[in-house]
Amino acid sequence: MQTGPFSVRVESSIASVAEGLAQLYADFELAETAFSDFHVSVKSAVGIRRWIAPQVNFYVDGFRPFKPLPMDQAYPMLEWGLNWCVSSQAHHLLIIHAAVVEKNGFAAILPAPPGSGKSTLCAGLVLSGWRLLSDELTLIDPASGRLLPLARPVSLKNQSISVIRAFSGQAFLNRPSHDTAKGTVTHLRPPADSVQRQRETARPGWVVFPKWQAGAAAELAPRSRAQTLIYLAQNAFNYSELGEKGFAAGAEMIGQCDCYDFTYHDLADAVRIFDRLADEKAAGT
Amino acid sequence: MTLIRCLGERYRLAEFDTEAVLFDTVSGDTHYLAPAAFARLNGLSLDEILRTVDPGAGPRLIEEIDRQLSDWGLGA
Repeated sequence: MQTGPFSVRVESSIASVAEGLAQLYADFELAETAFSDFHVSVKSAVGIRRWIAPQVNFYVDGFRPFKPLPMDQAYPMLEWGLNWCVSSQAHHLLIIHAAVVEKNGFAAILPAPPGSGKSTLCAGLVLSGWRLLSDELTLIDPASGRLLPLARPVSLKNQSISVIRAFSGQAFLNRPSHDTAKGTVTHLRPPADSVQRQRETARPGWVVFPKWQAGAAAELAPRSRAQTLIYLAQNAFNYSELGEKGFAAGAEMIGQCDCYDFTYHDLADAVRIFDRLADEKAAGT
Repeated sequence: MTLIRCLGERYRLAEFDTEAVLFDTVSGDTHYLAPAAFARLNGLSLDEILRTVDPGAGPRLIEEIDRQLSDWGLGA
C-alpha cells in the first residue's frame, strides 16, 4: 500500500494485524507496482515459548530490528516498526519527531516530549477539520522546504483514549493493546480526506510546543525561533546524517514559522485557538 | 526567508532577529547564539551591547562570549 511518499508491502498471518489493517487502512490506495520501499512482516515467534506466552517479531527486509513482544502487541508493533523504517532509512528528507497537521495550506508542527499531550491534540485537531500529515514524523523536503504527508493512524495512549472517545463520536479507535512499554495503546483511523490528499505537500506555518496542564487556560506564548531550531535539531532523527543540508532545511523552515509554547487543558478550547491561528494566517496571505 | 551567512569556509550562521544559530560544517555541531553573543560576533563593543542588546550583561559575560567565539575561531 501507499503511505505518503512510501510504498509498503506488509505480510502477516496474525489475525489482529489483519484486523487492524482492515480497520485503519481501508481508505489507503494499493501501490500499483511490484516495487516497495519497505518489505515488512509481523510473524509469530517460534520456539517452546509460543505454547506458554506467544510472542511476535517485526521484520524489515528479513532483518529483525527489535526484540519480540507479546502477541497482544502485534498491531502496535507493526506501526512502531513502520515508524522505525521511515526514521532510520529516509535520509533524503529531514525527519523531526513531531506531529504535523494542516489547515488553509499552512502546517502546524507539534514537537514535544512524551506525555505532553501532543498526540491527543493532534487527534483533536484532525477530528475537527485539520488535515493529518503525521502524528509522529515531520518529513521536510530539503529541496523544496515543503512538508510531506505520512497520514497513518494516530497512536493514542492511556488517558488520551477516553479523552478522544469523549471528544468526538466520529473517532474510530481499534482494539487496545494493554501492558505495552507505553501503557495501553490504540490507534485512531486517519480521516479519509487526509488519506486521499496524501500526495499534497504543505507549507510550514507554525511550530507549537503543546503542554497539557490540568486546569490551564488554552494559551499561546511566543518563543524564540533560534532556540526552536536548536530543539528541532536535537529532536530530529537524522539531522547529523544530513549535515549542512539538514541545518539549512531546518533554518529555512523556522524562518517561515511563528513559534509558540502552548498550554491547554480542554481540547475544544485548544482547537479554537488553532482555528484562530489558521484563520489569521489565511487572512494575511 | 532565513538569512544564512557563511563565516569563512567552516561556519554557517542562520539569523533570527537578535539571535542566531551557528552550524559547524566540520564537527556537525549546532550552537545557539543569544543576543549578546550574536551582537559581539557582529563586532559590537561592550558599551554598545550594554546599551542596545542586553542591559544586564556585564564585562564577565562579554569575556565568556569572547572566549567561546575565540574557541570557535570566530573572535570579534
